Amino acid sequence: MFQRSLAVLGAVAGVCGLATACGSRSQSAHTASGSGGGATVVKIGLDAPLTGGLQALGLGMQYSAQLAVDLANKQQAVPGVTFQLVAKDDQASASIGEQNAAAYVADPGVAGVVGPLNSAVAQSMQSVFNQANLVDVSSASTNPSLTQGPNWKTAKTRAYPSFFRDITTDAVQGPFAADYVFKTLGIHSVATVDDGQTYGVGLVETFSAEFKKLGGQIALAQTATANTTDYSSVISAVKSSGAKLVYYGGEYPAGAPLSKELKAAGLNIPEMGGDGNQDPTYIKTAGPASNGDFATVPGAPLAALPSAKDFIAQYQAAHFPAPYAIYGGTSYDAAESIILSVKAALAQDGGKMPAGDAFRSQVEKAEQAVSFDGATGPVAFDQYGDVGSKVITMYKIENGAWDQGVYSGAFAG
Amino acid sequence: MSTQPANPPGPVSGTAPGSEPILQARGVTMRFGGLTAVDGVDLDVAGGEIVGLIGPNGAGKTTFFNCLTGLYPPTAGSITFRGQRLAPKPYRVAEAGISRTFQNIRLFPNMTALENVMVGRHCRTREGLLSAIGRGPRYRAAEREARQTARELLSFLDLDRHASAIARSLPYGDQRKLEIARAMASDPGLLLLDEPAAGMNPRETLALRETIFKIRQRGLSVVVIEHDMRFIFNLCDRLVVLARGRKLTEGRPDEVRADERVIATYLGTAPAAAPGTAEQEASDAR
Amino acid sequence: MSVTVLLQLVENGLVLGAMYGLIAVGYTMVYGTIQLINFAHGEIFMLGGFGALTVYAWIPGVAHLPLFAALPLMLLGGVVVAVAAAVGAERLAYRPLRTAPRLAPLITAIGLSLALQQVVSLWYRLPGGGNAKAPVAFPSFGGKAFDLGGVLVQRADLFTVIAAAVCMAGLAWFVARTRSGRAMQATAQDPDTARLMGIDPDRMIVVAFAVGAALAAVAALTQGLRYGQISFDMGFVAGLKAFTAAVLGGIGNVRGAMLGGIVLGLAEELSSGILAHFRDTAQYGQAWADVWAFVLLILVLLLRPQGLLGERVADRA
Repeated sequence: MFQRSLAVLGAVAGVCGLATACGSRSQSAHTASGSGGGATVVKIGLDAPLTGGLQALGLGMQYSAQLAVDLANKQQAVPGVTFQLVAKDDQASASIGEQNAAAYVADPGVAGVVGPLNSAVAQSMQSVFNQANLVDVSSASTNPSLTQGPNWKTAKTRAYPSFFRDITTDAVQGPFAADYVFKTLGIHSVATVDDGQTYGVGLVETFSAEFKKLGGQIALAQTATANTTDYSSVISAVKSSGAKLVYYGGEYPAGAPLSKELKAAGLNIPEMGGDGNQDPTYIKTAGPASNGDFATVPGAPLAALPSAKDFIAQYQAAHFPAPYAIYGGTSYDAAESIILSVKAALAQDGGKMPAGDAFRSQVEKAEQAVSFDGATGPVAFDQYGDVGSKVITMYKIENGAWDQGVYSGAFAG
Repeated sequence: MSTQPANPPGPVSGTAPGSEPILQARGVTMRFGGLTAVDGVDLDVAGGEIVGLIGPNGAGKTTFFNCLTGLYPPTAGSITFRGQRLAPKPYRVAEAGISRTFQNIRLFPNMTALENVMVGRHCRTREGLLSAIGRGPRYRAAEREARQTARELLSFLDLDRHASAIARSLPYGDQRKLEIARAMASDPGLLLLDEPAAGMNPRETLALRETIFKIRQRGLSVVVIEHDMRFIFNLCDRLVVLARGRKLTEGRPDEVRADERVIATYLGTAPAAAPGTAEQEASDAR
Repeated sequence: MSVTVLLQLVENGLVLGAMYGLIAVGYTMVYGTIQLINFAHGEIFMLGGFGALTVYAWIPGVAHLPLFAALPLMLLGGVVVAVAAAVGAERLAYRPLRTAPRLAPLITAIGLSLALQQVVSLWYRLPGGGNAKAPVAFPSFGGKAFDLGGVLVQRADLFTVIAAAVCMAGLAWFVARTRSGRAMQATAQDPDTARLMGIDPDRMIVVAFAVGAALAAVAALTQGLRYGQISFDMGFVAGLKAFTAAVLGGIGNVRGAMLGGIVLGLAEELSSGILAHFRDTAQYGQAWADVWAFVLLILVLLLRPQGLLGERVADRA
């Protein structure tokens, strides 16, 4: 009987294992389809949540980076080199992200990595990347401390020389939202809710600081567990706090139920979030009552940018199975920046591939010096690894869909 | 007499004339590891007969009951009931028509007396789950029948006043009687009573004897394990004496009373069985 | 803090608790019959939700019905899927381990729970190609909440409470008034004696799994209606809370499970709601809701180790 029970246990474990294996196999298969034959293969990693609540955003990142790699191969951007995208799913988990980072470091063919999405995941990956001088360009992680160190408000120091990002930070996103709420909407009392994660807490902190500076009142500040969908006690408190808007720091799987329950409880006040809320699924879940909710996204609206026309056309022509979503432009540019850095590193060595660690160090140096016009505009990194851009766009839900941006601009501070 | 084997061959005395035995146990043996608790015991019970099963502690009486009811699949031997060989599965045994009570009371403690008896009727009722959910006529008829039978049995054992009381709140003697009522609910042909008089006062014991006679009048055969000798000698048609797992002798009460081996066993001049081991194990094992 | 706000918290707590209770019954019934903590029960709940959604999304025309007309069909779909999964799990995963050491079925349950999550996450498909890797939208009631003097009762809340009451009444009737129900009770109280009464314990175990699963499916439907979404991993948190509720009420006791659920729901909502209400304690509100819930559990178990309605029984190993 014991033998038999072992067999059953084994079968269960086998099913679990099989399930995971199937998942990763289908992803790498898609990745491989983009690469052609060539003399030298240089790999570019892509780490993002490809399953789970944030997969709509993660898949947009993957396919946009894939597009950059496919185009570079087609145009022979670096003669004699074939690029290959290696996508890994971090399931928005910091520990899985760390494992993925170690796997990228262990593969000598990987010259740089695009991603991840979540700031908390980025946090856990960086020490792994930094020890190996492996360039990581995040196209979506917006927490300021990733580039400017934990004391970024008072004393900025670069935390990881190998980490770059081509997206505006929450240091701008939060204050931009606060400015908009106070000045444009004329709302002076706000309740904040965050999900207790690096991104959400940071967003709410920067928002609250700026909002108070402007003279506004944070009537209520609440932290909810990340998995929760039940906000009834928060909503009772919001109701009696008299707040005229709820600012949410977190992502749409938990942000959308908040909006739905707020409106159902008879609170006709808008929810405003960061880029984590700006997704079509948010509207599907929150229902028609979500009309009038806001979300900020770093960068100008892609569709309105002349520089992004080419990217959008190419993306649509490639018929990827998912839309490029809000991080498509930055992911495309991040991959492009790594391709250009590889090119520069090779040019420095007379077209020869330097051996092992030296190659990664050279790519890191080249990445710091990179400067080009990408889909989202000019891309160049400052001394902290950030792009200079401070442009944010405020989106609003109108008639059951995100609009094209009610206001786009730079936050002057 | 002392030269005779432990299991005397030949026809069993005391069987009601003309009636075939409804229970035939042949060579029933139960071993637990190295311990043989029951060793090749034969037992025949005729229709309407009351048989007493006596013997010192550890003689294997309760273990033998457990074998008869399928709680323990016997290591060897066969049990035939009404001409059918019994599979050692308790619920099959119950369906075939053997039911029992326990040495230490085993009622369903948190159910009412009536519900206990209705559960006892489980194998004699059928209800389609769908009919129950729809509260269809079949469900209602079956439910009414089960309730009526249970009430009739409660009043038969003079327990009507306790019908809706929780079983564990009943007085001890009534709990014993409730076990009998529950055992009778499955319309058995054979009732096995394991020390039914234990813990009863003399008046209750006397009443119990009358009850068992009344049960016999309803056409049931009864096998009783009991230590109260006066009770058992006045109750049974026939006695079977077990000692150390083997059948020592059997016969009419007056025969057994006179048998010197029985006297020796009870007075302890014969080599004493290790007291309590097998029997204790039998009642503790779940 | 006004009375209205307090009453609103009580309302929220009752509704949340009713849902916990519906799931908790499944834990308690299975534990009562075979002393197994069925950690996969949270996933049975989740499957119930997806069963209901499948009927809504895949059967032509259901989505166009008014929601109250579609609900019975969705409920049926959820119950069928949940019961089939629970009975299948019992037959294939737990029954072969019936005589194995207790740790074996427990670990199997955990493995099963992970496997079921993965199966839904990987293979569930919506019409139009959507999958269930992310939370999927669930239909919800339109229309305004009922306003009882400032206390808002959402339509889904009302549905939850009515569904829980009907289920518990039905369960009470089933246990006390049907042959199978009595047999199940008997098996729980004394399995060996029950067998001697002609009760097939395997059948009763299947009935316990099936009834628990059906109630979990009802709970899943209420969860979907209230929050407008269901997800492949929603069984984990819900299952943990419901298990807590079952222990709180006294594991093995069906009425205790519902009581435990309601006490837990009230404790969560009242503690977090009241703390969130005051500026100085606001930070210990929602974020600490689970902390207060488990503090309550620990306190109850210190004072009454057998749970609120549990019987102090010797371990029948």
